[in-house]
Amino acid sequence: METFVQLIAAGLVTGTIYALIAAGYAVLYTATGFVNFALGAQAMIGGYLTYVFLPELPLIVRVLLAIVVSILVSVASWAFFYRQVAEKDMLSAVIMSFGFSIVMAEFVRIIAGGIPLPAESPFGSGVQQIGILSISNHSMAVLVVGIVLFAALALVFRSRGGMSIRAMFQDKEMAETLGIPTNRVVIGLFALSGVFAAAAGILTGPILSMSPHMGTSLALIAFVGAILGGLGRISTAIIGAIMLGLLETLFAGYVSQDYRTTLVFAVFILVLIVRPAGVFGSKTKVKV
Amino acid sequence: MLELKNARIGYGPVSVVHDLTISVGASEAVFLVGPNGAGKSTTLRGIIGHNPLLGGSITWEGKDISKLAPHERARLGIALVPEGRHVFPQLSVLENLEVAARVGPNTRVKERIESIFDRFPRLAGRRSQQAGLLSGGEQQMLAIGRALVQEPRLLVIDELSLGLAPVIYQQVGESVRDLARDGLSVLLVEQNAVLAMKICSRGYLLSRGTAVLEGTVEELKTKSEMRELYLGGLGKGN
Ligand SMILES: Nc1ncnc2c1ncn2[C@@H]1O[C@H](COP(=O)(O)OP(=O)(O)OP(=O)(O)O)[C@@H](O)[C@H]1O
Ligand SMILES: [Mg+2]
Repeated sequence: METFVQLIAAGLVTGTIYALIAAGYAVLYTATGFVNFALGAQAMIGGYLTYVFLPELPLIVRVLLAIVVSILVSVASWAFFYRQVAEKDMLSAVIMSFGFSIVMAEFVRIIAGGIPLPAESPFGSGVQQIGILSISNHSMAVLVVGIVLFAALALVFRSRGGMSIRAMFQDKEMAETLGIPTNRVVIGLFALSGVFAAAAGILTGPILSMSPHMGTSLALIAFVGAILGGLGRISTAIIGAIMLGLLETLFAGYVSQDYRTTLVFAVFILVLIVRPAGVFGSKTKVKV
Repeated sequence: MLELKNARIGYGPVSVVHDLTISVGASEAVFLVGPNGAGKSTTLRGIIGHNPLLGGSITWEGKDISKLAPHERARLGIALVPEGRHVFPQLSVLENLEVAARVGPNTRVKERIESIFDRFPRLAGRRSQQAGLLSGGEQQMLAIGRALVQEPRLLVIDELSLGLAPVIYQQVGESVRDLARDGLSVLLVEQNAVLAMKICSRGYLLSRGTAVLEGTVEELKTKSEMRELYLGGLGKGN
């Protein structure tokens, strides 16, 4: 029982981190049909800015810098690179984002080296005992930050502006015809996905330690999670990513630690064969 | 108010509309008729800004608007009832109207929406229903209501009568005509030439991407091309 509770908590923590990236994917995908695989690398850069590059700066400054840089990378990469390509061929743009994430990883490897570096949690190394569950401060922080960010996302989408965003998701051309500046809204959504990516990177660092290619695997696993729930809606993408985190952690705890990555991709293949629109997705809601 | 001069509009490099010159004056209702594929919808898409102008000019009150994005043209007061309705399927009826009402000057939103419900009582009874679940005719009413709630200066309509029962489109046609009398400019693409002639005072016949006939309703009624093409059986008795 104790192991089970422990694993569920760990799974939720892992899942929340995946879900931050998955939410970023879904926000962009529903608005543009584009999957930005570089969100993982943006998370990695956010982590390096927080834990490795600038140790002399105060923590709050490093965190803010990580967020700002991630926003800028998000917005600039869309405005200057992906958009033009996406208009002609979406698949090329998606592959381009994957290539860009490898470029970012190599860039960081050249500056900081390829050896994984430890990262100290901003929340300290303390552990709390709640009944039979013992949970680190950092894990608690992951859950709290996740809940706050997902709640904020829900608020944005329920607001007046959110109604225009939802209208845009459903019929972009018509929304533009009504006077909604859809290009500007998309830029705003890229900025939003940048915040989520930076948060994922800052929260992952102390758990996995920092390495240049950590973002690449984070990007892929979060994508599998989003697909598992359904990429066509933000809520289902988030739930899918959390489910995948739970599944992976339970599998690692009870079956095999070595095959956890294999499991993730087995899930991926299974979902694509059985339910391409995700466990919760209805076929009509997913634009392909 | 709106003027197209020698306009060339198309898809990518392919032009579908050539050398088209049309205008809509202030508080004037003008129709565009023509066979399927003549380029009526393409012309409207060019005016709205979804298709680029490949040649000629489009002006609004004398100013070139051909470089403006569609949302900027909307803010000048141009509203569209598109071909195929294009309501937001997963928003409710009320939300569809609200999205449109709040884009421009964010004032009297409730009042403007209620006036749409007064005009279309069928929609009033379904205000919280998902728009995608409305019947085709109800969606058409919503598309018209969504354009009117913006209080546009020019209403551009692609197929007013499509999907509406005769009683309803007569009624909607009358509202459009009344609005035009009250000062709204209208550019109407309509399959039903009889209806178009009841609503508008002037019109153009489009064929293969260019205007082959133009004139007031009285003038056009005497032209054999119009009679043959459109009035046919329907026109007898009018
Ligand atoms: N997306 C597109 N790409 C290329 N050509 C197109 C596209 N849409 C329409 N066309 C072509 O443009 C021409 C004019 O089409 P348009 O839709 O403007 O006609 P229309 O007058 O509105 O006809 P209808 O009465 O059937 O609605 C047609 O020959 C059509 O094949
Ligand atoms: Mg048409």
